[in-house]
Amino acid sequence: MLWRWIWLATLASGVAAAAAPESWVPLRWEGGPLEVQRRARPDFEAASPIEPDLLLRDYEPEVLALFEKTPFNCLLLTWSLGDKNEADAAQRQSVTRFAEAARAKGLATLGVIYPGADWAEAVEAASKAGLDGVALNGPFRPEQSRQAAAALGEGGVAVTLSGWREALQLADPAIRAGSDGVWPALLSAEDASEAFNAGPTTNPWVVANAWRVDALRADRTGRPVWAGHRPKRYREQPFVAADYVRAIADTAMAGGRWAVSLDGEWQAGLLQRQAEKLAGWKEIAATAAFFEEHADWRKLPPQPAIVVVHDPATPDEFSLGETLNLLAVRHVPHRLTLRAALAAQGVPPGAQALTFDFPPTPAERDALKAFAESGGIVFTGPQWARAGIDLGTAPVVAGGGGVLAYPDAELDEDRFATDLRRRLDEGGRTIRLFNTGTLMSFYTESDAGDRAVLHLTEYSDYPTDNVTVRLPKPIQKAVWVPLSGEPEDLQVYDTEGGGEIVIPEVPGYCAVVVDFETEAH
Amino acid sequence: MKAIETDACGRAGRRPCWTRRQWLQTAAGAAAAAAGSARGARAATAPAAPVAIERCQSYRTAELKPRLETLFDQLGGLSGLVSGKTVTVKLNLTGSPAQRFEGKPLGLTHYTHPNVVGVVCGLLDAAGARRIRLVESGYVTAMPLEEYMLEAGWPLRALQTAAKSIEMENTNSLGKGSRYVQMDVPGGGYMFPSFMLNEAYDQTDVFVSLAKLKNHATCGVTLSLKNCFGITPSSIYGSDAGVDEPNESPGSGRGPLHFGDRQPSTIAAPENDPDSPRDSGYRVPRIVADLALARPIDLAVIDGVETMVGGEGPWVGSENLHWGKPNLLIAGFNPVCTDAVATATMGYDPRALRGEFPFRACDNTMLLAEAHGIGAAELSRIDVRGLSIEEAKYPFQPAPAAGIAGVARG
Repeated sequence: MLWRWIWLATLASGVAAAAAPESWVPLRWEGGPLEVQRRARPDFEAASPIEPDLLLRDYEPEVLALFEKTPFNCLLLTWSLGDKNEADAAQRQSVTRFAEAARAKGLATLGVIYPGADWAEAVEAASKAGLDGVALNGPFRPEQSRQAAAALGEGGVAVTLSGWREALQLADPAIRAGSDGVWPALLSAEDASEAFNAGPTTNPWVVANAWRVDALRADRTGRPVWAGHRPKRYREQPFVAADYVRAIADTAMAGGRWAVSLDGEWQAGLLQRQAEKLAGWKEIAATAAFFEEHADWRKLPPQPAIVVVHDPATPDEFSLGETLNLLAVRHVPHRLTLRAALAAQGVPPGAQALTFDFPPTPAERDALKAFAESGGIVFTGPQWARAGIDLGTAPVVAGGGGVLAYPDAELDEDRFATDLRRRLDEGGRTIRLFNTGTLMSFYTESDAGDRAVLHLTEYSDYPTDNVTVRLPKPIQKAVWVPLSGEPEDLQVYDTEGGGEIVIPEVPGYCAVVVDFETEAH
Repeated sequence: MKAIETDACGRAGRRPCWTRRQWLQTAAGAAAAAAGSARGARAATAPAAPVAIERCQSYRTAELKPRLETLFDQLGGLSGLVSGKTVTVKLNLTGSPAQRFEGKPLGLTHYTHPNVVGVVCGLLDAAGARRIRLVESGYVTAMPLEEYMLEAGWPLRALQTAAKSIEMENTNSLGKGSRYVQMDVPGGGYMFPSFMLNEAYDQTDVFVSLAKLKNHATCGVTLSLKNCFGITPSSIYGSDAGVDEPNESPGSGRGPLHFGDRQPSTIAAPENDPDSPRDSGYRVPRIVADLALARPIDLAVIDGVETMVGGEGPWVGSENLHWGKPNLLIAGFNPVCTDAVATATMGYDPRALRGEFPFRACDNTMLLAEAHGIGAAELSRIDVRGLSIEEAKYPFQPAPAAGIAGVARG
């Protein structure tokens, strides 16, 4: 823990210069008269309500004390509901004053703008008010995002919080952000709309965002990624700090940052300086700080066993999102890759399969054939069958490569993921985890293959213990890194051609940093 | 065909000689028990054996070891039973390891706790067991039992070193074996004349059922007898078993046994009467009793330190499911006697009939097994050692409630 407090103390040392956008750690802090209006709309769904009087106090400068000694350095502030509003003037006045005070403390501010006829005017107003940029929140088109960026100029940042598919259509955003994530939790498989917690269950079903966050990194450029989903109440119990800890870890393990968004009860509790909420807030802030302290982990790419190729310009004819979700649920290391990135960078090392749902160009055809003939499996989409495309490879046999049509009547998304998991297990060529019923994992590895970080997030309220991890390479050292408490070396067991470790406990979240044996050893 | 014999303690051996008189008695008793009449008619002749109960507050091995030692000492020790023998221990790892109750470790709810397994193996080893083999039919999978245990979060390496020679086998299919073995039910059985099982059950001198103290939605209670329903391989008795040959990649449960919606693969004997009731409350208790004749249980050990109350696993879905902590270990050389005592500690009458708690919608497995001549379910005939039943009693009743309308936990 010591390093984290040193780090937080450094944050609090009065550095007033705002961080660069790639270092922004976002926090939604919504308030003012517009926010009162927004929340009064019939279509607004609040995880829990907050009194309008408190919302009106949200942008009083003394509130900024709540963010001292926290890593949150970019505040998303309510700026415009999209249409001209009689409360705009009052809103902008209080936000401008608040932003000035925030800037003095080294915090960046973005004005949140919702869709409407006057959104562009709101962007210009934000720029004039001295905000660091805007966050377009909703179904904004890519050209509107570009228009906002142009209006802000070099000094401003336009973040568009949209669906992940739309986000991938933005050519060069400073931050790629999605807003269609889910509130991470454990649900009943029978009815994902009816959640359970700490109660009798049937098949546990984890809803998580790692695949969405990873999808936002499909351009493989290392650009910062944010997830903008909000808390959702699946059950009657109030939110606890652990829910927010999980939400941060759920996004962070895939290399993104969740734009922390508190439900009304928590926001009110902080404004009223309730001791319990302040203590929880420290825990939430410490979690975000943990991932900033380990920002280098974000640079490690996912080590995919399967690459799902996506072309934003071409409709996918198989359910891409569900495929990615189920691969994640089955702990099949995977990653979405843009078709253009695949063409430029090739199949990532170590990948054993890929999906490809487009009529291939001659160059792609050659690359896919070479991949299949070298032992990889190419899962093709319906367009291949319709067009009669045939790579001319031999049929797929156990342990071998080739082309398989997907989906077909026998191979829905779940069967696809399960079947792939089984093939990988039989081959023993990729990471394998045991005892992960209520966990999600994300496995990254350096390009040199000498270091890996395995992230594990727990979605139940009870820590999972004794998670066994098998890796296909000999392990030199493995260190268990929990959110709180000191890292510990793990016992490493040699296996045939690889190594095995047992993680003693996953208390909400933990990482395991693995150093592999190299030839020099 | 194998039959069964019992020694003075009521222990079942492997090479018995049944007389025609015994067969006729069993058949008559089975009919009586099935009809729910002449209750206790067989109680006078079925063998009785001592049962020991011990208090145990936790799964810490430092506490489990002396408690289990005392438990077995109260029965006269294990050496006479296991010295120089191959001991097969049937665990209870029912349902998918992914299915947790309240997110708790499986050993605290519906699986046998791994520390109990480890300590029992250590004591079997100390008592001279030559070879110990842990067996279970992993839920809808043929994966090695070692990997199944890892999926359950069990400390595999610790278990593998708990005794000098420990093997593991997933008996849901052929596993590491080379063949299935037909194990006959002396007298023909209520439901099946024989079962085709993984050969591990035949390569056994001493068979241990290491069960959990639980309710069961179908059978009322699941203890050492019901635990052995899981020795049947889904490869043959599963819904996706091959028509003729086993399916060595089983992906479904034992619907054919539960509901009789199809017969097992033809390499196994079909049920005696294809027109018998398809009601699982009728079928499963009888199949369990048949199995206890085909593969006799020599030592019954019941883990009741922590458990779940109201059903055998989280999938039961009853509002009455809850975690419980009876703090009990129970053991005996006769599974019927042991289960009868365990049932009494749960607050039930072990001689209750269908329609009475906990057998609201099923027949009483213990009475069916008693009628098979396996052991006595009559408490007055059983020498209870250690804690008395009254001292050990833990309020399971009136659960289970799953699927039974109008039942509320009192």
